[in-house]
Amino acid sequence: MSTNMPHEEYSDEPQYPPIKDLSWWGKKVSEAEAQHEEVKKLGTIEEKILKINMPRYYGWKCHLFREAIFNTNDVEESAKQLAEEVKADFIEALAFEWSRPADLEENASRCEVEKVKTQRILESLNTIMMSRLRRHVPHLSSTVTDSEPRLEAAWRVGGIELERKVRVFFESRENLKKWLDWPRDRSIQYLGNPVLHVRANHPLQPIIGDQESMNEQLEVPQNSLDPRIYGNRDVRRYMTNIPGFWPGDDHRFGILSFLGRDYQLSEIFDTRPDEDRVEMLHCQAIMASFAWLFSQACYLGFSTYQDVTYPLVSQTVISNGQHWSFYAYQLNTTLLHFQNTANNPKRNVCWSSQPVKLFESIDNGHVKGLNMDVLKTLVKFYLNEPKERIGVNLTPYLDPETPMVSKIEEEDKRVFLENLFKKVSLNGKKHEPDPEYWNWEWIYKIKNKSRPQEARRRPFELWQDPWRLSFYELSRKYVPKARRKNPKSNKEKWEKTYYP
Amino acid sequence: MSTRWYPLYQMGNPQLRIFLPNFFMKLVKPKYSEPPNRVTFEVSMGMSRTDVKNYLEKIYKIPVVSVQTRVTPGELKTTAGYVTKEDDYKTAFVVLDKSVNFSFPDLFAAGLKEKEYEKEMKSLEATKREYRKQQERNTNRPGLPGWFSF
Repeated sequence: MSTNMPHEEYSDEPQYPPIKDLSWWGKKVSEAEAQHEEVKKLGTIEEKILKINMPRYYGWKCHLFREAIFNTNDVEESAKQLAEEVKADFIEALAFEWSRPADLEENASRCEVEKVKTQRILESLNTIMMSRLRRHVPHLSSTVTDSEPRLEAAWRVGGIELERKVRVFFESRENLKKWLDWPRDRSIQYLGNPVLHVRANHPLQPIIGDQESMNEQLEVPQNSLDPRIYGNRDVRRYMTNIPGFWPGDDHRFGILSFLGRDYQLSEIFDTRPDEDRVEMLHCQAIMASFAWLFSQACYLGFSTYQDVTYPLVSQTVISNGQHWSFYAYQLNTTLLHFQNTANNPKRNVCWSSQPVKLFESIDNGHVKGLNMDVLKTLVKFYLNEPKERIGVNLTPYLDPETPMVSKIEEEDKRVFLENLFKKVSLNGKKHEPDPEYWNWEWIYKIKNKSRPQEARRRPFELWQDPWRLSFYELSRKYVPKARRKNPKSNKEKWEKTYYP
Repeated sequence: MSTRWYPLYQMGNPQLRIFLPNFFMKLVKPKYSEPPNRVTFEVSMGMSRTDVKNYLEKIYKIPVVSVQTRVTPGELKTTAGYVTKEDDYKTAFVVLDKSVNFSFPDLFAAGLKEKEYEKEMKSLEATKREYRKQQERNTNRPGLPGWFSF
């Protein structure tokens, strides 16, 4: 035996591994952190989005939020000039679209009529702005406009109070009692309904710096109440992030989004004061701006677990043609899970304006009482130039060679992941049937244990939750012998899977 | 308003009759914590959202923003070997104006609940003691019925 010990094993100061928190909560946190690390390691956009959905074949229970069911002097000068220049065409298009009938059935509600008209007015006004301003503002030539884009965003939020059943369970266990008030994650899914999106291939310049975004005077109101209290529905679905385009699009930074305000004509607002209407507009703008920027961030390789390394900015306009409100939003952080809801020093900031009238009325194609300040503000939004961020790695968590699934060379893997991503984004019907039990089982087996003589074979009798089925547990597809390279090989009997 | 049939007039006593409405609203403590401008009621099954709104606005002059109702199925229980079902009930969730700050009244004064509990526990202990005494008396007399010593 050799007595020579390698010198590298020794050091002057003893080096210990980091001390792990072995409490119940500490273990939970380290488990979660390991999962977050796995998301971070994945190279492509699609895999990162899929990874969150892999543990639940039937989808996560999400709190569903639908849209609205709730700088410098130089710019000032040029905006004024351009507004004057655009004015004539703008008014003509506005007056034409305003007086055009909605072509809906007679029994259509006023909200439906407003929705159709808003879509037409904003689309035509955007076209006018784009074509007239393009001469003076070169960056508009390289933008893309989407009509009625698909906007979906999903994230995790901590700090919402426990569900009653879970609370009762935790209160009944002595060792778990002290973890009662620690924040748990809830899944949030936002489904937007924007009218227009304008996108560019460079991001907008940040409005405030990193230091200012940590300013403690920017208070973020905390609400620990369950969203269901406010009437938000609970749905079981995959958590999807779609900012109006698919991975691989060059124009991946949003500049401007237009939202409608048809819901303001619904009956519940008839008796409400104007404050409530304005508050509703603010809610709509904040949610829509955050959701759009968050889903953009996801397509840049960030996620609800990996914070953005640079701020993203978007501008939002809510309008029906006559009433206009303007918003700007800066996304400084995407971390809202666990303790981050309360302890994250970074804040997302939204600048808002009160709704203002663009004109008083339109009679026979003549616009009366036009407010030029509103038009000027709108022009300013178009003038805000997206610029290349030099020296910033825009996608630090993406693999530079294969940032998306379509770049993967291995054909089987690419096809598998593309199909899976489509399936998850579609949120359609599952191949496996939904688990269910009969009503008589609920009465005589679950609520009342009145059949002790029968064999226990159902999931609810075996302490199983069939809704927690993960993708990894699904049975693999059979490969017929004719399609195998080596027909006698048992390894090739089942199709390969590439779940992230 | 009442949907009851008015009872037929009967000759003789009692001369005084009281007709109670079958609409009721019972303020209940919510299972989940709620925003301060929301109140939960248990209401009679016949009441609609409009009825709840009118009840609060016309009788108590409380401005209501919106009302949501839900019918909860009665609990299933095993009583004396049979599975029985309790009656269904309707819950109304009423949203009041944003400025309203409602908190559920504290029905028990501080310490009253504990005092009641202590009192009950004392009498329970006394009953247990009596029962044990009676059991001990009969330990050396097996086979005797319990009532023999009285």
